[in-house]
Formats: sequence, C-alpha cells, structure tokens
Amino acid sequence: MSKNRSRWIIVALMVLMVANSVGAQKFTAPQKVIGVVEPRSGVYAEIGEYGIKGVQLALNQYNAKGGVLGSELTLVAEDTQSVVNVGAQKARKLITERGAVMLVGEVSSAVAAAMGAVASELNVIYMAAGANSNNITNEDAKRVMFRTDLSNWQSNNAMANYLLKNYGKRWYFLTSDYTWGHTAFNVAARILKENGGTQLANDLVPFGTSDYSSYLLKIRQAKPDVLYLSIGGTDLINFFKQFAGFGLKGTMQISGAIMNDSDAWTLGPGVMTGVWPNKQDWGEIVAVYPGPNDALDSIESTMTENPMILQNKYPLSVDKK
Amino acid sequence: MIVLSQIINGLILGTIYILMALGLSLIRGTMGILNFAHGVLFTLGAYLTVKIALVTNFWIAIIVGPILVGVIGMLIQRFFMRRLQGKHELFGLLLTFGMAYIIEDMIKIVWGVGGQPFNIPPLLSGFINLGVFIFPTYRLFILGVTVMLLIGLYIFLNKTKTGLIIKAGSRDLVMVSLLGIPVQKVFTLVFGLGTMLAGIAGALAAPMWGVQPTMGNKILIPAFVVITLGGMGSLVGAVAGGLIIGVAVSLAILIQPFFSDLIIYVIMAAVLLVRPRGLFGEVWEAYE
Repeated sequence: MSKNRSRWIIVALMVLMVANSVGAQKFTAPQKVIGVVEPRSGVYAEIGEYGIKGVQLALNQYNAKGGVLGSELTLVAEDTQSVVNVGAQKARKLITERGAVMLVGEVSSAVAAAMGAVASELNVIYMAAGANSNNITNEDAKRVMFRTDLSNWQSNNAMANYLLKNYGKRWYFLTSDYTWGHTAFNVAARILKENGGTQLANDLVPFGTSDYSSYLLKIRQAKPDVLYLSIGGTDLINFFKQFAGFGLKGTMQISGAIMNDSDAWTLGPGVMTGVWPNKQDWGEIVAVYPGPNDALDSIESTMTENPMILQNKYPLSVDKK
Repeated sequence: MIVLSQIINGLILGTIYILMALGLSLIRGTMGILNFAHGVLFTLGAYLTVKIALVTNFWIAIIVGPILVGVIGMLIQRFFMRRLQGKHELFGLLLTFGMAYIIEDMIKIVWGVGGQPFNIPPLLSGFINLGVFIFPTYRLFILGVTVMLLIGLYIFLNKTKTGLIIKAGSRDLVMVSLLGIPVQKVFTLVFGLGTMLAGIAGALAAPMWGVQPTMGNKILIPAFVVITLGGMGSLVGAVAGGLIIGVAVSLAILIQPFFSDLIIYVIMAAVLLVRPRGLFGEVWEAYE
C-alpha cells in the first residue's frame, strides 16, 4: 500500500471516530432496549408490523429530544407468530438475553396473557397494546401488565347497543375460537339477550381459517338481521372476500367490535361492507407519546402513504352520549 | 337440503385440495420425495399471479404465474435436489423443508408481510342462485379448470411418450434408465410439473382466500393427508382423497366447526388402520 493511501485511511478512520463520538454526546447512560413483541407472520402479521413502526416512531421522537433519563432507546422486535408458547419464549428472550427494560405489543390476547405471566415472573413492565380480551384485565391480569387498547366490554357494549337500536334482533355470530373471540361474543350475546333478541347461532371459527364457504351457506340459510363478527386479521379479510360471492351483500347488516385499519386497507372499498366503530388504530403511538394530536401530526408527516389515516383522527364510540 | 348443499360445496372445496395433492402425489410417486416446499410454492403461485395481473390482466396472470412456479421448481430440482440423488430420502425432505422457510422469507422481504389486495374479475364475480343451492361463479370456474387439468393430465400420462416414461419411472427407475432414458431430465420435468400444479392452485385461490405469505401453510398438511388417504403416488387417489376431505370439512362445519380441523386426521387414521396403502395406493416395486 502506498504511503498516500494509508494516510487517507487513517484520516478517514479519525473522522469516523470523531463523528461517532459527536453523535453519541447527547447520551450519557448506556442504551436501553425496548422489547417489542408483535406477530410478524400469520393471521395478525400486518397489524403487528404497523405496531413495530409505531413504536419506532415514538422512540425516534424521544431520542431526538435526548432520550429518557439520559439513555438512548433502541427497539428490538421479536416475532410471536401469534402462537402462545412462541410469544412467551420470545418475551423471555427479550428480557433475559437482550436486556429489555420493558415489553410492548401483541395483537392476540391469548399470547399477551402468556407474555404477561412471563413479564410478571421477571418483574418487567409489559404494555399489552393490542389485546382486547376482557381476560387481560380480569383472570389474566398482572400488576406489571397494562392494556392501552379498548377492552372487549367497551367496544362490544357500544356496538351491540347501537346495532339493537338501528337494526334487527335476529343475530348470527361468527366468533374466532380463542379468548378474544369468546369474550367479545359473551358481551354482545348478553346484551342481545337482555334486550329480547334472538341468537340464531354462534359458530366458533378456528383461528387461521381460510375458507368460509360452509359458514356462509349456514348464514344464508339462517337469514339473520345482523351478522356479528368477532374475527380479525387475515381471517376477516378472507371472510369478506367470500361473502359477496355467496350473494349475501345487502341481505343483512354486518358488524363487530373491531375493524383494524390495515384489514380495511387490504380489503378496499369494493369488498368491505358493514358498520364498524371508528377507532384510533395507532394505539401504540398514542400510548407512548403524550397527547393524541402531537402523535397524529407526526404520523401524518412521516407516513403519508396511508391516506385513510385522516379518517381516524379521534377515537370514537359509536354510541355517542 | 342444507346437508346436500354442504356436500356439493365440499366437493367444490375439494378441488383446491385435489390440485395440491396431484402435484405432491406426482413428485412423491415418481421421485420418492415428500415436497415440503409445496405449500410455499402455492403461495408463490398466488403472489406471482397478483403481480403479473397488475401489468397485464387476470387471465394472462393465471397462466403465466403457475408456469413461472414450474420453472422455479425445475431450477430447484436441477441445481439442488439432483445433488442429493442416491442419498437417503430424508435429505431430500430436509432440503424441501429448508427451501420452504427460505422462499417464504424471501416473499416477505420482497413483497412485505401484509396482504395483497386481489379480487375476483368482474366476469366471474357473480353467483348462480338455485334456491337452496347457491354457487359462486368463481368456484364453478375453479371446478371447471380442475376438471380440464385432470383430463389433460390423464392424456399426458397415458397417451404421450413423456407421460408414459414418467409412469414407468415411478414403477421401476432402474429399468427405465437401463433402457437409455435420461432419468434426471424426467425428474426435472416431473418436479416442474408438480410444482406448477401447486402454482395453479395458488393462482386460483388468490382472489378467494387472501394473498399473504403464510397462506400456503394451512393447506400443506391437508394436502399430505389427502395423498396419504388416497394412496401415495396414485392420481386417482389424489382426486378421491381431495373430494372426501372437502366434503368432510364442509359437513364438520355444519355440525360443529371445532371438528373441521380434526376430522381430516380422524378419516386418515381410520383409512390407514384398515388399508395402510391408502384407498388407491399400489404396492410398487420401487418402494417395497
């Protein structure tokens, strides 16, 4: 190597070292890891990815202001696959191997409950951002686990009462066969019964079902006023894609307590139908960053590829008081 | 009446299982390999169809997409699986298992983890209403395509020279190679054909089932159940097995949806207890 070239390499290395130290001057304490547990595959994968983006956005904003207690925050994400034992294992890994100071995320309540148990055992705060099942704040509640999203009681209570006021009383239920679906159904069914309604059927759909043709034939035969869906993610998307094909569009009202934005975007206006509660689906961002309007302004400036976000300005309850 | 409509629905549902099982059965019967990448190639067929349809149209896409999957299958066989020729069949299984993970992750990297919007073309998006019976036009289209493919496959395997070589190869590979037929080329063709069938299944399912990276996972195991039930290597068995499974799942949903996942294994176990080779399986010299 020539003398000139080696000299340039030394200069370049020195510049890099200086630049690195300048950038790091804001943070006096070591980095703190925020463990993000989201499904990155399976039924809730898309919702999970947006969750990770939301946390990253929040951390960027915190770090730009000097971090928290002098520490820079870094995000480490693990894929729970929406499977209970995988989620528990990943939660444990983030805490014990990656040194996460807190956990945040998950869409499936069943997985969240399991991760809550792990967090409780290891004494780490866990923000169960997307888990709606009532169990999270009842049977499965832990001191360290907090929920930022609606409970099934809140959302199903609002929707069921609204639907009873505006549509018929003969309801057919399609329920995802795990804790979230069950507790959603329990709330809506109880309100239906208290108001003199008729439960035509409750089909427990296995999580991850792709073909709904048999269910649609049953629904068609039952001729309900309202079809109440407690299914989500790709399950919901598949259902809607097949619904119109069985000539059922317009023959009944479709509703449910949750329609995730990412599911609606995938379906598109031609396929999606029914009446759904409008809700702020960037829950992780609103929870971590103070003030809903600040968060939304920064979302709109950085994530302009989703025009539908403008429709979700404020969390709404359908049943306005 | 509802039972009858569920049975008919089940027969139509079975067509996707048949398409998957045909490819698996062809590969298993000829090459002795259980292709664990079949599910992910189903997914790849769907993705390629969606992307090609963006620049052309649905009709061109459902032809070109599966052909591309077949070509990819042939490349996999030529450059990876051929190296494991003559070794224990577990190696081939592990290879396809690994390929399944790799291809699925590549799909996620290239196209993201979210669902791809893809709808049934307007021409096929109606339904035929016969009172108690209702048939979405698109499902009848899938049925029609499957029937045509079955006829085409039958003609190919029984009336063409290449097809007869494939049949002979699954019976007695050693004799076929002694007769001077390039067995490796036959294998490449069979693998390509088998994977193309998975691609066709994916292409047809795309507008109906939602296109996302794990869409093939849920159909792979039922496809294995179908070929086990029908008889490994038997194409008639693949058809019979697919129809049986389709009807069983539909009826299970009518009675108790919880059993719809379970029933296929119960049926498979029952058949295997009585007839281990499957309904139409034959004892072939190669695998005694």
